[in-house]
Amino acid sequence: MASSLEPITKRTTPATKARNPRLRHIGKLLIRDKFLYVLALPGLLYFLIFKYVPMWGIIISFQNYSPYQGVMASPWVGLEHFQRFFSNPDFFMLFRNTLAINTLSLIFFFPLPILLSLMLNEVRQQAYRKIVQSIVYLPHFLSWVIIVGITFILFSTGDGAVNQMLVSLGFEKIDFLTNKHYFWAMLTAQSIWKDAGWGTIIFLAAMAGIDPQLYEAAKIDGAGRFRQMWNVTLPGIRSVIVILLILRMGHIMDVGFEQVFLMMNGAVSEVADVFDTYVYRLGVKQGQFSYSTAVGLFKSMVGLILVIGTNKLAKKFGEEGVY
Amino acid sequence: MKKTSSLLLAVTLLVSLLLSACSAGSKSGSEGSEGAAKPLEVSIMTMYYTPEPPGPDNVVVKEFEKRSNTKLNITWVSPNNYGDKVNVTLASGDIPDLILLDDPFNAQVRGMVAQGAFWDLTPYLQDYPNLMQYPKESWENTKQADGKNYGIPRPRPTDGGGFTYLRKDWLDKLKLDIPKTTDEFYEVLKAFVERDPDGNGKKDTIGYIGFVDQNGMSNFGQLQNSFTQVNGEWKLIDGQLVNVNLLPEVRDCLVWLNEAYAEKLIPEDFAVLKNTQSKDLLKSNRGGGFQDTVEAAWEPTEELRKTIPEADFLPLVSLNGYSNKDSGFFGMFAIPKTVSEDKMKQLLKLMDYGASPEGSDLASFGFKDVHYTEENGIKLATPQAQKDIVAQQALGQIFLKYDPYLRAYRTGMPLDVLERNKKIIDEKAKISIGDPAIGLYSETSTLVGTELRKKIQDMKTKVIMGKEPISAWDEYVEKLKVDPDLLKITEEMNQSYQNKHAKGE
Repeated sequence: MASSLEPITKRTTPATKARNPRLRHIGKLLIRDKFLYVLALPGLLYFLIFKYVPMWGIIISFQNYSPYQGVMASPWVGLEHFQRFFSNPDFFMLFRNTLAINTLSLIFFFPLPILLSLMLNEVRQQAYRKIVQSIVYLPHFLSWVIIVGITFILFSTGDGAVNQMLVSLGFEKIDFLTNKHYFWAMLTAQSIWKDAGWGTIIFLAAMAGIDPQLYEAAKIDGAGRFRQMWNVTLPGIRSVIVILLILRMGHIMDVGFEQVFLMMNGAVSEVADVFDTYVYRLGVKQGQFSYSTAVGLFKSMVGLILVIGTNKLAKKFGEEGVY
Repeated sequence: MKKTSSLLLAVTLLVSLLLSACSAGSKSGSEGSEGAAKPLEVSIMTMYYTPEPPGPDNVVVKEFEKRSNTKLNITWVSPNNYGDKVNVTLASGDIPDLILLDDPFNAQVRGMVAQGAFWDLTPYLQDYPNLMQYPKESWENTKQADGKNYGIPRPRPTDGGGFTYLRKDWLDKLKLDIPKTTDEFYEVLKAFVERDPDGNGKKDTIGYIGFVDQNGMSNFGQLQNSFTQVNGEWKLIDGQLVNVNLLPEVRDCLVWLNEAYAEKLIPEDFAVLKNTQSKDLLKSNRGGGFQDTVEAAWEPTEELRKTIPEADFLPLVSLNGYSNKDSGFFGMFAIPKTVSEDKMKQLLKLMDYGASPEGSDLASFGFKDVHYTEENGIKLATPQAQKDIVAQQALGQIFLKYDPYLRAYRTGMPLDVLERNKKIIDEKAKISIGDPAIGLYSETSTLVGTELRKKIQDMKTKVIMGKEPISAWDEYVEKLKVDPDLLKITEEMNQSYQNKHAKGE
């Protein structure tokens, strides 16, 4: 190793320095941290092979792709699929449903883990806090199939527990599962039940990183619990909240496919159908690869624009942003 | 020196990672087909329904090879991804001598048939008497667009498919006759709900456990068919195929169902109910009726008889004089043109032997007293059969004779139920009506058909639940009648129907 290092030290002599200082600087860093780069290589390859290379597949949204002709030989149709998609009378419905479900989740779901972690953070009894924390995490590990199953057991009109209770209390039955006015609320409630606890992990970690001296100083200044929460804890995790919000915006066109797919039925389809279920039906079940790729591309574009937009906005308000 | 070793470590880690990633894919099959010189070598691709497929040294496969003087090289594929496997195999061009095409009418098969990739078997078939025993429908319905047979159907019974069945013991208890029309059927369901047939003093029974999914009427399908008098979406009226949804009969059916829903004769949750949940309701003595194949009616009966010995689900023969006829096939075995004419004939002979009583029994049941015992003409599989993977669900899927009563028997069924089922199947066969649109092709339908069907079904679901009035259905039908997509689909279906029947006769 010593011998291989020699040429490098030689090259760093002032004589060669003048040639291209920036490139040389990068080269120097590369050589200095070569082990780190070697370690990063598998990760880089992973992203290159599994994330960047497949992006060329987007090309099929401009073709009439047939798996037997392949990407190279399939006929080029330009923007035909996009035209078909945007002129489809269902486009508006899909767009509305996707946006509505996500907006509801943004308003009701997103703040909840913050609230929950603030509350957990205030629990001083460690054992109790750990137990509560574990319990609220748990539903995250249940699959949607199980959660939708539980929902059916609780809320179905015929034998559902909630409706049985309503009837025995003298109320009318409520068609939770087949009423289009309740559908979005049901979805949001399910998401909250499943993932609110899981969402606290990052916030709790951020809170753990806040300097305890700040709390002490606040106490000395006479701040109570709520005052500390408002003036120390929340500002301490603000940048984390903003980053998560920006990332969340990127997924504004994604709705958990499984959840909607499993909850959807004929009576609520007009409020339940979203881009993901549409792509599943046309792309996976009917093999219209090009068309569904076009729909997917549209979704990603909207997500990208929102991420860039929110990031800019965040920077304007003096936050760091994701990049 | 320390640096060297850490570099080495990093490189080793990386390399081993890459190697382990590659090695998973590099295990290539080395099982070539060598076989003796004399027996005919045959490669087959098919699916299996047993937990594991039979191996190449399976005793029955060996015996079958001996008797037919062949060397079988069978690729067993799970039914879960059979369609994909077929597509890939066809696309690769390396097609086995006999390939089971699970859907003989998908776009790719159509294309390849049109290009002449498979042998037209029509002129040869009459020389194979056992194959000719397959019902007329099986051959008729597997005809391709030009009206010719490019494959040997995997035969399925034409009668006994999913239809309504009812609690006979409840009918007897309430002194009701077996319903013959949908009106009588309604009255029966009403009595099932209101007159406490299970005698527990509570009004907790549901007349008919029906449900729909988003693709169609699902478990109400045969009820709708009883109104439209045809099996499926298309009805032949004056020589023209018409989409049944445009007919007033479907409207009548929706009115019927809407009333049934309001009176709680069908489950309140029919829009979200799934098959297993429905069966649970039947098995827990809550439901009076269901839709399934003739022999499947035994499944809830068997469960119920553990506590209620007189429990009995009776498969109905017909409603409104309508009974359903199935297509008579589930996939077909095609022979690629790469096979010589001589070998093609030998392959037909092999399949013909498989369709003979001897060949079929061997493939499905194995050796007597080893793999099965016979009692009252019913063959009962022994545990050895399971061990050796001898089953109708495996080798019996390639080599089988036509059995019209395949949908009559299920393990554990008593003889009187079996005999009754056979009679029901005979009765059904006399009047049953099939689907005129089997194997017809509409390009527009492949593009927009599923979405259209879903929209129609969504509307139906809402009308049945009373979320939309029946007038909304009328308006919707008026819109459908001028819907450009449906008009185009109808035109293409009729064109396809003409092509198939003009040249086929």
